[in-house]
Amino acid sequence: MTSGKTADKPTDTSPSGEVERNLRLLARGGLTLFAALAVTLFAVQLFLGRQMNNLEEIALARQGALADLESAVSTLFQRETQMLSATRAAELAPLADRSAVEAQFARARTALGLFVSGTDGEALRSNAEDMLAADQDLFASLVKRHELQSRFEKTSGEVSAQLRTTMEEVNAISGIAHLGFIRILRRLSASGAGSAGGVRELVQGPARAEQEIAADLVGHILNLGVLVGKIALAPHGDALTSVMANEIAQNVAATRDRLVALEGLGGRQPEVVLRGRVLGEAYEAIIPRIVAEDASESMVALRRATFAQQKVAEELRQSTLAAARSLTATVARVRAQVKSDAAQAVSRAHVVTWFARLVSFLWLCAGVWLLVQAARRIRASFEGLRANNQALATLKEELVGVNANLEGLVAERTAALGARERAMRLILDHTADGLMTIDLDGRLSGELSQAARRWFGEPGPDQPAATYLFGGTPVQPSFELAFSQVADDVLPFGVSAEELPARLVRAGRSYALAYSEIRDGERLRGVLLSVRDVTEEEAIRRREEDAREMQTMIGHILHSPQGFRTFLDETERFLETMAKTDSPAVVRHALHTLKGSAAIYGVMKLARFCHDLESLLAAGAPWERRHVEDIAVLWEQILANLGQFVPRDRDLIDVTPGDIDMVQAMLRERVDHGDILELVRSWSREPIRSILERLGAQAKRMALGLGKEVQVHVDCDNVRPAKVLAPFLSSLVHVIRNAVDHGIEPASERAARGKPAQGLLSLSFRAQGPGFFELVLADDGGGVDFARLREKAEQVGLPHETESQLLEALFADGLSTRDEVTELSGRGVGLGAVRDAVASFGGRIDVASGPAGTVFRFAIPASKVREEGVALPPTAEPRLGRGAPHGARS
Amino acid sequence: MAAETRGRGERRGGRGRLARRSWLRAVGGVAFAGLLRRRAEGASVLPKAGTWRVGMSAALSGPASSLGRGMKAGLEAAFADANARGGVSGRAVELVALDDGYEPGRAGANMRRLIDEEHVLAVIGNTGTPTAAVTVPIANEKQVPLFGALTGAGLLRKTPPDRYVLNFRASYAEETAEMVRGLVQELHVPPDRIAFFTQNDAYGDSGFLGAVKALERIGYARAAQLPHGRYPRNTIDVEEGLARLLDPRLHPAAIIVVGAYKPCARFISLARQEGLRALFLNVSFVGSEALARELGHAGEGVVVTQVVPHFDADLPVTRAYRELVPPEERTFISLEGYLVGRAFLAGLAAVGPSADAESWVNAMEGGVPLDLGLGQPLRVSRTQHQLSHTVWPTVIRRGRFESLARWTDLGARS
Repeated sequence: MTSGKTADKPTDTSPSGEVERNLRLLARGGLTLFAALAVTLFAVQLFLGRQMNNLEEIALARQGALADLESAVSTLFQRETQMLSATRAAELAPLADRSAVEAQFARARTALGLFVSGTDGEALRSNAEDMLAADQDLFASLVKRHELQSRFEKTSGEVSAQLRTTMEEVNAISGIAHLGFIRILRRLSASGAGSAGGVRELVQGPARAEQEIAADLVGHILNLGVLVGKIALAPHGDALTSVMANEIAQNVAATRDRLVALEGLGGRQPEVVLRGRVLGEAYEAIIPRIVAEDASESMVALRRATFAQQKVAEELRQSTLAAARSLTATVARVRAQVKSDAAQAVSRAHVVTWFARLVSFLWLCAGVWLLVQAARRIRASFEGLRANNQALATLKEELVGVNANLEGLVAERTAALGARERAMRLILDHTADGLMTIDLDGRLSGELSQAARRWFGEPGPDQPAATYLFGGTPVQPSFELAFSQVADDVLPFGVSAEELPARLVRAGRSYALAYSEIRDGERLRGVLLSVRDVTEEEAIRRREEDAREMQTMIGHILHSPQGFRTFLDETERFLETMAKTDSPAVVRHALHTLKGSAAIYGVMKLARFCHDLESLLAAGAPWERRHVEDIAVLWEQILANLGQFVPRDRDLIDVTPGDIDMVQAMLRERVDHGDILELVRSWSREPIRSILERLGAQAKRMALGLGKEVQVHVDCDNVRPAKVLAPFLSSLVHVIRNAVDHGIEPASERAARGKPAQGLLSLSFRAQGPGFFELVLADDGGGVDFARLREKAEQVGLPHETESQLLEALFADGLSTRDEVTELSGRGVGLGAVRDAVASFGGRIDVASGPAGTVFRFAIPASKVREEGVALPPTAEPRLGRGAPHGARS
Repeated sequence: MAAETRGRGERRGGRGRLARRSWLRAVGGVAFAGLLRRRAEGASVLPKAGTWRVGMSAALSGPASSLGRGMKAGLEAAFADANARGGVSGRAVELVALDDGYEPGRAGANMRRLIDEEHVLAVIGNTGTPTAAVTVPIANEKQVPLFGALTGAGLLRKTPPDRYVLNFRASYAEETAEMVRGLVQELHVPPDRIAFFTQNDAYGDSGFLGAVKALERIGYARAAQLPHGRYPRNTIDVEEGLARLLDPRLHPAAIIVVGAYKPCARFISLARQEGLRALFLNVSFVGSEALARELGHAGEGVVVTQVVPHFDADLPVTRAYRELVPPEERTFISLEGYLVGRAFLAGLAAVGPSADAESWVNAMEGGVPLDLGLGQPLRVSRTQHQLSHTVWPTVIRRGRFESLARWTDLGARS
């Protein structure tokens, strides 16, 4: 919050400084917050710890001390019980040691002293002391009592022994008295009845009195024994007093009386008197031991002392109980205090906990507020930074302006630049290429090389390159379009520059155009166009091509002069046809076939020209006569080039040994000369084998061009077809082309279908019965793609329901299963030409196609082959007429 | 120590609440057995090497001293004779005799001293029944044999017998039973004319009860109601008892007297003085010679049954006795002491040099026949611990004892 103030009056106005400062502020705030949290945590921990200690002290130490005290009290009571229940001094002896219970009390008192003070503490202390003192006194009293008891028992035992002796004595006296009486009885019984003196003696004599006294004495002594037992069992002093005052006193009085009486009997039996005295002495000795109150060892005295001690013990016991009660009450008070203290500590701890939670929460809020604050500040700083950047950019531009005004500097720079420009100029003036730069608006900018000026003239100011270079040509709009694409700089330059025209033909010269991008950093600034005069190069190349073409043609001519001458004738016929007709279809057929034938015979210039012309027508250009003239010019040129190689004069005829053998055979067999004549005449025509082999070679060449391999199998009769079949045979090139291009699959596909890598193309020409010949062209390719054919037929609007309809459509013009036009096939013209040719001599076409291949069967009437005086087509007439059958070239 | 251990073990087992600690008991048993063995070894090792120590606690002083001294003389005669012959198993026999004055308390102390300090092999020839009441438990506790005590009380003749208590002499009951047999069956005295005069203690009672049983055996059911005079022990106050038997309504023909020689002599004298003509019969314990001396001429015809033969009898053992004991010391008591000594040594010799308390008791209980020269061998068994059951009646004639071969030899009596 204090840092907020510092942020309000920044000393450094730069935004980056502010960011730094804000970050520092954030860090400082975070640190302060962390410290504050730590301090809070520490304080809470400390306070809670203290409370816990308090609790521990209260709950454990104090409770423990109280428990100790109580256990000490209980030990004390136990001791007392043991003491009181002890019947012998020996049982009491182990209890003499009070140190354990005293130590227990001392421990409890010390522990309690730490927290119990005031009246309670005093009460506890005095109670404990009272109890201990009472215990001590009780012990002492009990010891004394036991001592008294044992002394009493000793005395009692001695008295009993004395009593036993006395008893024996009295029994003896009684026995003697009894014997004396018996003696009198015996005497009486012995002397018989009637002795009056004897009876009187028995009744009144001393013997009877003696016996009676002895019996009394026996009773008294026995009674005394009983009284001694009574004394031992007397429960209290009163009982004792009663026994003494009444019974013992009576016993003593009676006994003494009897003893006196015994003495008074006189010496009738001296032994009795003697023993009576002994008895009296013994008796008198016993009595004081029993009853003397003052004598400490008399039974009664000991018994009384015991009673006194019993009373003392009882009192002590009561006082102990009172002290214990008081102690218990105090302990209960203290315990309640402890409990309340503990509760207080707990509640204090609760308060602390809540306080800590509150403070932590407040700190957390402060932290969040601080973070938000800081984030806002940093954002503001960044915005300031951005504004600054903008200002800086403006400043920079201004600076540039300022710089521009710095003339001196400029002059200096200009001089340097001028030098450089001059150097550049020198290069531009002397380079053989035409160099020019085109800015993004398509205008020429900067310097042109001298060569460009020479070729294209001086450019106007800000003249567009399009008008400067391509003005008035059809290329101009395409250049403008392509250049705008380049200038957009969306596509890579290499791609967009591809669209720009690479060649320029102007004023009979050819130029090659090359484009390079001029970039300022990432930005396209313009295009450097370099123009090179390739007129000479092209001429040389063309001548080389011509020479190569010538060689090929000459090869063909040498190989089959007759075939080539047929080609020459054909070409001239096509040229005538084209010159005469107005039908575009006828022109197309003718042009197409011409193109194929030219290709077969290697006259590539003508083939190309035809192709170009076809393309032009396909693009919609109208057919004009001058096209025929162009072809004718070209054809004348080619012929001129071939010059002497052209077998113009038909001075060469192919005659095979078989021909000659045949003629000889016919002559020997004297065949009709007409037949022989016809045979020999036919020699002016090319043998069918030669034609088929040429087609086969063409197929092989085409296959090679397509990366396929084809094996050609030719099988034919030795016939020389009439000229009427020449167009048809020429048109076969389309079938061949179809077979190679569409039919025979690439090697990989063939392998997948289990066919040998080499495709097989078989051509045969055989007589089928007397009426006609059959020409079969068969390939082992994939067959016609009927699905695609159907699709195409539908597009063009041809019937396409059945297979035969489709096969029919196959021969329709403008229908090709190919989307792409190549020099070999694809225009959909070829098979139409074949159909037309077959139709022209009344033949028949039969097509069969399947996955194993396609077979074209052409049925040709034998009359057309043999040329039995059939009228030749008018166009062929002059040629025939022109050629002499035996024209030799020697 | 061993007894303590056993006692504890028994308590434990007895309570049965520690059944799960039966292993403890097993251990205790093993320990006890081990202690027994050690005790037994100790008994044989602890006596002084070279001598057999034998203890005796008897009344060597006081009114009953003649009994103790007589026993001691007989024992010493037997031991001296044995030692003169080269000892028993090559070792001399030594008698440790202590005086107990016929007091049970002293007898107990003596017994403990003999066993714990003197380490005697056995305690033999003690005198008196009340002392035996103290010494018997000690002998059982210490497992030291108490043999040939001069008492015929049933206390030493329990059924089954205490293992460590063995007797030589016939019991009081056997003596009084013999008296009854002689009186009733040989002298044909009617049972209702038999009276008793006994000391009022266990001694007197055992004699009285023996006679009562014998009478009951022969078909007299009212024996317990027969006239019975008593006197207090350790006094001569016989007047009361005498007065009972002198009742003129009674005419006792025979009075069985069980008591000490002094009161008995006084009783017999006084009774005869009063004209009581009856046959007085005393048991051996009365102390024959002392009684005869005390009675003087009044002793003529008084019968005393003996548990040993007359020392003048013509028996091998009496001949040997007479050789060893001078005539003035020849008494029935010393002869009994001699016989007890001979019997003890015979048992010891039977065990051999390794003899100890246990093996001696085992040998005796095993029934080793002891031929002491009494005409027939004596033996004890596990169930019967008294060597001799024979009672020899004697009669005082002219102050001297004469053997009564037959009761009828007494001559007819009214």
